[in-house]
Amino acid sequence: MARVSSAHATRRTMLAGGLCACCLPRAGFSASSFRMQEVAPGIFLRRGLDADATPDNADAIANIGFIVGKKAVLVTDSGGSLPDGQWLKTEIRRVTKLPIGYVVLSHVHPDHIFGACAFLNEAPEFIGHHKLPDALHIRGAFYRKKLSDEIGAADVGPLVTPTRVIGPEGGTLDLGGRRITLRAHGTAHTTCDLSFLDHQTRTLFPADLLFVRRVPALDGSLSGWLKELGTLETPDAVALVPGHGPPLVTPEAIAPLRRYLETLRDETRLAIRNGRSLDQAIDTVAAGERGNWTLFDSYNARNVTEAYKELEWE
Amino acid sequence: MKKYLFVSAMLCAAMMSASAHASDGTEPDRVQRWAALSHRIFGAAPLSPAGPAVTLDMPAQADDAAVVPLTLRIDPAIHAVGVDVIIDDNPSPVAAKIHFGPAADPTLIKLQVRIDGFTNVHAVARTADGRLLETSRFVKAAGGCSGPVGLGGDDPMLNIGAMKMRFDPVPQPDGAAEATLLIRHPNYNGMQFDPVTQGYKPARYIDKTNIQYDGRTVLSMETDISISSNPEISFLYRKVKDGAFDVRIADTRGGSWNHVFPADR
Ligand SMILES: [Zn+2]
Repeated sequence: MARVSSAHATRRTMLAGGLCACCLPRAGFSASSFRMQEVAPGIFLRRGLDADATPDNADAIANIGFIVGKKAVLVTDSGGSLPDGQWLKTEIRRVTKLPIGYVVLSHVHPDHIFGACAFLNEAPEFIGHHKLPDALHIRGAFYRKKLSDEIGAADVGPLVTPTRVIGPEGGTLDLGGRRITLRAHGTAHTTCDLSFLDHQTRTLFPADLLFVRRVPALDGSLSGWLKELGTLETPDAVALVPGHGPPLVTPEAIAPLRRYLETLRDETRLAIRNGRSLDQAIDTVAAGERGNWTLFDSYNARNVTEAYKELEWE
Repeated sequence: MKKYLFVSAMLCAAMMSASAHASDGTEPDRVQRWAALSHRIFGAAPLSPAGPAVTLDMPAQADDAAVVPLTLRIDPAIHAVGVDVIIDDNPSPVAAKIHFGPAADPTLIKLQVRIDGFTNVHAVARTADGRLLETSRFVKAAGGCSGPVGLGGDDPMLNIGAMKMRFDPVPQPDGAAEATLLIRHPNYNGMQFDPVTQGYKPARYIDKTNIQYDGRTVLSMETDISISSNPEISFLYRKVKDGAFDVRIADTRGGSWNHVFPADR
């Protein structure tokens, strides 16, 4: 009890001082329902929920986790809200006291970046794609307001922008005997998808370039995504960590996503060629994929709209 | 430049109050809003329910608030000279004023619009004998107006004014043909953030469209900021031998473009 009230006092003091409520434990979000798994030596992951953001889940819907080297910890993605990021930080501290040197911001989507504020006091390098700052400028405020509406303003901290960007030439990090190489992809899932490879375990972290079982969301370029998907099939990687779905998969898990995106492309092209209007295309395109993905009805229509607007200019 | 930024800020404030109104609004609020709005647009002229003569189809729940498809069907028997599309709770509600020319077939019109919040959408057909016939739809969507114009993967200003005409290979039951005009234009509504200037992109949108076929006007249209970026419009026409389309558009920053599309096979 004493701890709870002192936390409240601290929170009030911090808010009065104009600071965010980051890094303070919060009671409402039930972290006990989540489990951190060590899926490979030194790689710890939490599977996100197959759901959309609600006050009960605090937007903990993306796969997040951390990698431990000999000198530093890298956060693979920070989570979808302040409490999601706080929970992740607590889990890291159960495993290691090493400094949190790096926090990856895999792309602009809220479920991957709004946990980053929980790490501000650790002063890590926040690492993102060179086009992420622009994307955050364009969408950040809009996402922040939307997320506050969805889960409650108290769980949404400040937007964190990258302190280091990765350009087309890529980048490298050293966690202490553990090398990580980063790749800034062309427009695909979004305009700012960053992936990275842990060389020690040959595990690739494509974030939302790879969706498994949860229906993908297209917010960049359909043809671009199909192209970038090819880069995930590399002999360097024996395992992948999708942004959504099971936390660790083998390269075969890329095939269903490719099939969905190709179906979306081919059926949208056909609809356009046959003179089907957008609303007609929305009702029919990729309908055969419905049984293969969770949340299909929440995203497929939007994907068809994006695909239609892209492909009708071909 | 300063002036534009100021206007943008005003639009934003207007939009915030509009969307707050929209999501909190009850049906009586909406009825009252439409009463005020329709009076402002049409003056004292009475509006009557269109019944089956004018129908408006839109998804009840918009999947992409920045691109909401809208289909209008007007019975030729009412001799419509035009139709107005009004999105009640958008920051600038009058989305499009369409005027039918001598080559028009008003049976089918399709547009794509932005919708901010939960709102009624009205279509009001104007008839040759001066009647105003209204119909409406309630649509749930969020953030279509402040929503970004893409993420900037391609420069939205690239190819501005480019056009394409697409022809439906299947004729309508009565023999009319359907064409879709696609236009490359970001239709900035003054609410999109510009990462380069750190301000809002000044509004720049297509306000005038004129489509001629075989030397006669199919339709002309005045549009506002509620039309989606890279806008498109579908319409019907009666094919004539060697008939060609002549399209003229103009935007609010002095841009104007003219394209001629040869006859559809
Ligand atoms: Zn994403």
